[in-house]
Amino acid sequence: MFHRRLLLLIGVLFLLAGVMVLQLFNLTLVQGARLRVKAEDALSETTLVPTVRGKVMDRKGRLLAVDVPSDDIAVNYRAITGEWAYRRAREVVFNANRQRWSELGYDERERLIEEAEKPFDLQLETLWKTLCAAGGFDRAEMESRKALIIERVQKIAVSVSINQQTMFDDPAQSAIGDVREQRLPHAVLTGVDEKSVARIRQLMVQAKSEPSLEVWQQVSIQPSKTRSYPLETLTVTLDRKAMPSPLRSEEPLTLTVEGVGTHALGILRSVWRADITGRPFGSGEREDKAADLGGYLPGDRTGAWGIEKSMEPLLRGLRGSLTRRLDTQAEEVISPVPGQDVTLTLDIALQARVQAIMDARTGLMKVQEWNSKDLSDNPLRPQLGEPLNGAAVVIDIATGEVLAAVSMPGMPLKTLREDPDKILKDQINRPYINRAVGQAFQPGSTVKPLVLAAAVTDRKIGYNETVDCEGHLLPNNLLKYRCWIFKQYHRTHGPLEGPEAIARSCNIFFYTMGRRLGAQRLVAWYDRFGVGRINGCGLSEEIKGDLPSSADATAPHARGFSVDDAINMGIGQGPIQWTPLQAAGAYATLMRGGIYIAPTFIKSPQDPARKPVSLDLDPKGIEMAKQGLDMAVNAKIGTANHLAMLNNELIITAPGVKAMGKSGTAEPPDLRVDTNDDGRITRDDEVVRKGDHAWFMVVVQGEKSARPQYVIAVVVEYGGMGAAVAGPVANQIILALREEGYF
Amino acid sequence: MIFSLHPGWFALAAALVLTVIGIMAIGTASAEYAEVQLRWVPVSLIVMFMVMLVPVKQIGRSSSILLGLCLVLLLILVIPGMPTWLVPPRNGARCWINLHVMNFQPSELTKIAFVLAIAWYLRYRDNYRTLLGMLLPFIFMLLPVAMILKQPDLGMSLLFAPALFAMLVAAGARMSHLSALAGLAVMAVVLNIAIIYTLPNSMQVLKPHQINRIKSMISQAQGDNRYIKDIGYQQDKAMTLIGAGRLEGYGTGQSRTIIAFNRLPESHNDMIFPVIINRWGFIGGVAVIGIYLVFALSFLAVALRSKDPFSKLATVGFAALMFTQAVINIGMTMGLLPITGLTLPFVSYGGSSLLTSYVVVGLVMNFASQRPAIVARPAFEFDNADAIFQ
Repeated sequence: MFHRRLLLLIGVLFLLAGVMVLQLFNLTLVQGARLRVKAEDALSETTLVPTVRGKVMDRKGRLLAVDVPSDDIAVNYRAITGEWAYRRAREVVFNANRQRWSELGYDERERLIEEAEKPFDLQLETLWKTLCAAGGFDRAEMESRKALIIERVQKIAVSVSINQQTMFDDPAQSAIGDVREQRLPHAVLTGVDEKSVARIRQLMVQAKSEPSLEVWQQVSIQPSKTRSYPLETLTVTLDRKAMPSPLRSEEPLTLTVEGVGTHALGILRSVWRADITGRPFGSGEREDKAADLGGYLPGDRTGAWGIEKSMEPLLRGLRGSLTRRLDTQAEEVISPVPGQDVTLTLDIALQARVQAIMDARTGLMKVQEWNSKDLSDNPLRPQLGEPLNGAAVVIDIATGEVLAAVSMPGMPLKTLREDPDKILKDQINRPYINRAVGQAFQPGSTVKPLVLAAAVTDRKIGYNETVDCEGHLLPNNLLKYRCWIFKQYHRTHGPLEGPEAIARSCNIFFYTMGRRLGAQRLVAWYDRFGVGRINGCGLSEEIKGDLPSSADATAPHARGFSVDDAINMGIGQGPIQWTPLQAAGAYATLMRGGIYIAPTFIKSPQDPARKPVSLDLDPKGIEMAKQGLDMAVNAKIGTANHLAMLNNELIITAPGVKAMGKSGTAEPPDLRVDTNDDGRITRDDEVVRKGDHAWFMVVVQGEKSARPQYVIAVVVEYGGMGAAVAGPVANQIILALREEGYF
Repeated sequence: MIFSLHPGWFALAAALVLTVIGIMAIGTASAEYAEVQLRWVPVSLIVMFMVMLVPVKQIGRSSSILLGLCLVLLLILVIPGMPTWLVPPRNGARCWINLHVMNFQPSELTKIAFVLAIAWYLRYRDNYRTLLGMLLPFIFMLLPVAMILKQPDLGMSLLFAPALFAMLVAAGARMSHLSALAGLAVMAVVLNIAIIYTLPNSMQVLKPHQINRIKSMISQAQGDNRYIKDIGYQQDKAMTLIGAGRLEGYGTGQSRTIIAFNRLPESHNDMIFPVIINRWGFIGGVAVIGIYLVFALSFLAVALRSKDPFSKLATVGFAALMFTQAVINIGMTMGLLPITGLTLPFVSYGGSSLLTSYVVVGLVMNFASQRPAIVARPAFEFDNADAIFQ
């Protein structure tokens, strides 16, 4: 029996040995290759080398955005959590009670430590206050920065722990341990000015000899980079001699404008979780991670909007890395790749001038008595003296390059820094929207030249054919589809040829064109002029505006394809909205003889996809449209000729240029904001603005030039009459172009 | 007589080969320790030789006194308020008594004394063939185990039950009782695991209890948790280094570098097995496991040949003790078992451990070299011979 029992034991021995050999086989031969890489990883240590973000320049090479060296103030993690005070207190208590330490119970020790901790806590408090003063923010901001750092480090610690858990497949085998980040300093102040740095450095030196300052040993100064926007604030002197008479003055007006180009340029912000998951950093150290030295790490900066955002992949560059083999001391260096520079088409001096013109202090973008007859009949209209919002775009016709794109109200960096809510939470004025590309408006009468050219090309009207304006389109309905002249003065235009219809901005003529073309053709034409699609101007804020989709045209009850829609779209109402940039682009297309070039903000690197496309417009139709635009500005009968409310003063007064253009007074829906906070804007929400959008499109050419050179688009949100409100702004922009040497 | 030919020599040979491998591996991990370890070899062999000379009967008779002495020593360790010059705590555990020449670990001696005492107790009995009689030694076992757990030294305390179990198996306790006991032990382990893994895929998707766990761990992160963290870190490193050895290992020079830079804690001591695999690879590992198998088998052969029931049982107990210790140590380095502080017999650095292991070899050599008694009742043959001798 004994030997049988021994055989049983021998069996168990072999079984256990077998299990061990199997696991050994699994580790060495099955997982061996992976584990060998992992083991050899420990032989190398990688440090990252920061890169430099690319510069952004304007068309004349002026620096708009550049990395400048600066200093960050970093504090050790344990001081940020406050653990430093406890540790120091424990040391003090331990040293004082070294002999009887083991006799002291846990509670007694904790009591002594708590007592000894007070001076250290006080030192920490003084440290934070000093740093707050250096950073120019309050204690609450410091606390939130600290909380962010702690949260981030703990996340790293947890993820390390989870990795370990997965590896061991046993939660009991791992815990949140020390990660490197818990022993490192973390920046709490960035881009600190030299004076503060000098003071902190002095405190750090004193800390070595002065016990009451020893907390400053936890502080370090780290060289870093700040993004600087050197031309964000510019001073502009405006000549007021050519202003409408109430604003006219022999004295020039000198203005300091802030936030020049900020809408288009953008700024940097700290990365969000989505940025990191979208492009995670990979050093290539671990075999399971793809190497992307350009990926994001917590605390990285990325473009928040504008060029900084849309050109992020280009501007960002790649970090370098320095991998040192600890055994052989061999170094492997991957040099950082600096970010590429971007040159914009903007002329920052012109941009500043246009912004100064549109500044409320200048007076043109403020409600004035001569803007409209009935200023006070509706309290929801902007009231006398109230600043108006809007946008202006200047593009170079030959190239489609945007020379200036101003959106009002502006976004001064100082306000963004100090009182961001004033910009980011203003739901009525929405200063954060770049209205030049990111807001669509009903075009109103500004589309009329395009519609005429299209109708002529489609043979919907003969070259000399007239349309009789009887004041209303439908013979038996005096209330629907009326001409503006009928509505206001109960008069009619009578029979009109195309050019004159543009000059007089006759609605009946263009209702008729809309009806003759039909919605499908109109939509197709608008689409070819660049409306209703993203044209790739280089800013991610660009929107496509509004236009019925041609793809839906044959679907039953498709939105925007009824006869009513066609009639409305004939005068730029109904289901069509465009951005000021699209408006300027469409006019430039007309001026190029029907060649579409997508407007752009990027001069270099150039987008290879940007190619001229011909619309095959009838040259005679273009000629008629141009003739109409010319008459509108330069003939007495033109609606864009004079300020009717101001003794018929001419709108375009700039000398030495030939201007033609078109005013527009578009009827938008009322502006509502989400007053009931349900996250949507519906009919239940309160109306905060009523009124018409004022448009003024102008095409200018210098006396020496053989062809039109620049298109200026001006829109004033809920501003009222196009000619009276937007016209003088456009006139000043022509003068600004002249000042900047464009003619 | 001492030098007569018997299977004990295989065990000694296996022990010596393991010792040599151990010294080479320790040299790979940290050269200075290898030298110290080398100095312990002659000491251990001399003590082993001395143990071989003690009459077996005397060993048996004094075994219970020895165990009593061990229990007193264990009591000294667990009594609170012992001066630190006598009981120096190490890594939070109080396992050692400072003898000034060397640090002495009473639990090492206890495990030997326990096997001897149990063998002596069981040698002429058959009451363990009843359920209650079988449970008695287990209940007695709880005394040293509890004191060792209190130190705490989980690894060492784990060795007692398998040794006792093996001795009872060999002594002929009823299989139904033994399987019931084994079943209970398995159920206890399974229940424990089931509580931890309430949900099968808990590793993929974090469940609330795990999230809470993580949260509580974060708060721990502010305090002292080095002990817990070492466990995870150590096992990860150990498994990595084992895997990195692949089929043939790195060889001495490169292995030394890899181990040094991976900072494997206790690489010369409890974690010597990863060093061996890192250096000699899968082949080396199979060889080491094979040598342990040879070692344990030769013990069992000694037990089979011996006519003295005390020697038989003690030898089986020692075989189980040593092999279990090797399995637990190797298993924990390969991630099969949780980390517990336990040396790899003959291989790990440590004079105390080496000495104890050779004492065991000495005892078994002693048993093996006894001349078989001329008239002896065949021990533990319950199935056929009960009638003759009763």
